[in-house]
Amino acid sequence: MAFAAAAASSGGPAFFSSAGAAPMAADIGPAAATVVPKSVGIKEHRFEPYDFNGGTVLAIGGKDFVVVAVDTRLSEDYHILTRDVNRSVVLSPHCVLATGGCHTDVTTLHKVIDMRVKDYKHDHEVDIETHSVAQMLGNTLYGRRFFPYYAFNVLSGLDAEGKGAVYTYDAVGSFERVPYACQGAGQRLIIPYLDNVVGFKSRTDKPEGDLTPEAAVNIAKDAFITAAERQIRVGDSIRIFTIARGVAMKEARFAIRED
Amino acid sequence: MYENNSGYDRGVSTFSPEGRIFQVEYAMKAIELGSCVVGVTTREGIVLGVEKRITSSLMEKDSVEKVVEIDSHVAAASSGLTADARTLIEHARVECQNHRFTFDEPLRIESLAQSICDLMMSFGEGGEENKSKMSRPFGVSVLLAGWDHRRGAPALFCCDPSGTYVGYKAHAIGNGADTARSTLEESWSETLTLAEAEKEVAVILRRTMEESVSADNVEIIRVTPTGGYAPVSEEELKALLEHAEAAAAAVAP
Repeated sequence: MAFAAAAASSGGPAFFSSAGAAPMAADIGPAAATVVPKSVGIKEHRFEPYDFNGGTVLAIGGKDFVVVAVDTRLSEDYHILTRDVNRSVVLSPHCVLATGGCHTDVTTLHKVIDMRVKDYKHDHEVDIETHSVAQMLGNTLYGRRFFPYYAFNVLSGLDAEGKGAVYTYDAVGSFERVPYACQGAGQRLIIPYLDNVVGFKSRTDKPEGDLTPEAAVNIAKDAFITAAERQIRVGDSIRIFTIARGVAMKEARFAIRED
Repeated sequence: MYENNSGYDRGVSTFSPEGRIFQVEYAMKAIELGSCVVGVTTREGIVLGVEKRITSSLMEKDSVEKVVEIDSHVAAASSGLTADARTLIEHARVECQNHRFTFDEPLRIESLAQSICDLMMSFGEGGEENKSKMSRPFGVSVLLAGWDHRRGAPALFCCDPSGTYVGYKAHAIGNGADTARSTLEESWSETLTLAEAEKEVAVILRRTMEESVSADNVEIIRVTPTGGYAPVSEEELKALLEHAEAAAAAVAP
């Protein structure tokens, strides 16, 4: 109101800032009329709904197990907000979703998916199968095609046959079942490593026998230790889930460098 | 039923002093007038047999469709007002496709029965806010026969006008259902094969139908875990009906 009154009655101040009314052109003198002091410059206010809070997710599928690892550092620019954040949600006795990206989107997405999984159980009286969660998560993300969740998901679990299943997503719901996956801040450092030691890409010395859960856990630890050396958003510790056929899901913590 | 319902049968939103909704009970009666539907589960799959009422030689037989495919793993057959059944069938088909879209899997038969029953009991004196409501109960019972992929077992459910569903090992609705049910109680066993069940369905339809059975007025379909919804071919149907005639002749010489 004060602005309107002043502007109307006296052709009043042209700008306001936290310092008060800007001096009028007459006060500065004709020569300075076009110069606007920096402290009272026009500030463009933009809607910035997204932030990247780090988060790296890794999953390795095996014959009858899947190992999921996700880091616990929550960062914003050069700050560490906490060293102990949870980026994962256990959806059923055989299914875990872990997500990197904008943490407020991550928590909301996890709540939505968890709710829909519980609804499914009430409606159909059975635990939802992993591939059904995969489809439902894809649809949920696509439902926000034009204002997406800034969230990078890796969904892991056992499939209907008890085999390890890993699904990897983009932010708008395109997904694919893969043998192993990594998403988030450390993705570019970890994927080549997994290609080498899990996928045996371009190698001729692929060993006989299947990957064991223990070996997969060690690969996951090595991957995060390596990524933490070079990527400032990766560090502090990781949560490791082991989901194996016929055994209860296990969750473990493993410390990595904190600087 | 009661000689004097004292006007309590005029509306669907008022209980009688005995605690009944008469319109629902009358709807149940409408089903007994409908043509016979028989469903039998076996470990190998599930069989659904129906009587088709061909009331005139001028009727196109194929235009009478009594058993329908809801989804590749479920069949439905109804007894009662066919027009009402079409609404329910349309609803059931949409539910199945929605579930596949959302969860990438077939809808369980019990969930489908629940969703049909939700629609069946949404009748009433709908006000301004609910124009699509049925003003009366649906005049049909629906028998759903399908394969439950989560249990790895057949599933047979019956939805009635009160909005209740019940699961069965074997069941019959419509005209002659009482006779059919008592026969099924005797003949059903855990070890029944699909072929035996098909024969049993043919025998029961032969017994309950007023008309003499033929490939024109009987339809039999099967749902198996691998083949899904599959109507029995005309040759197979003729063989089953011949078997039914032979069985009847053997019992009553």
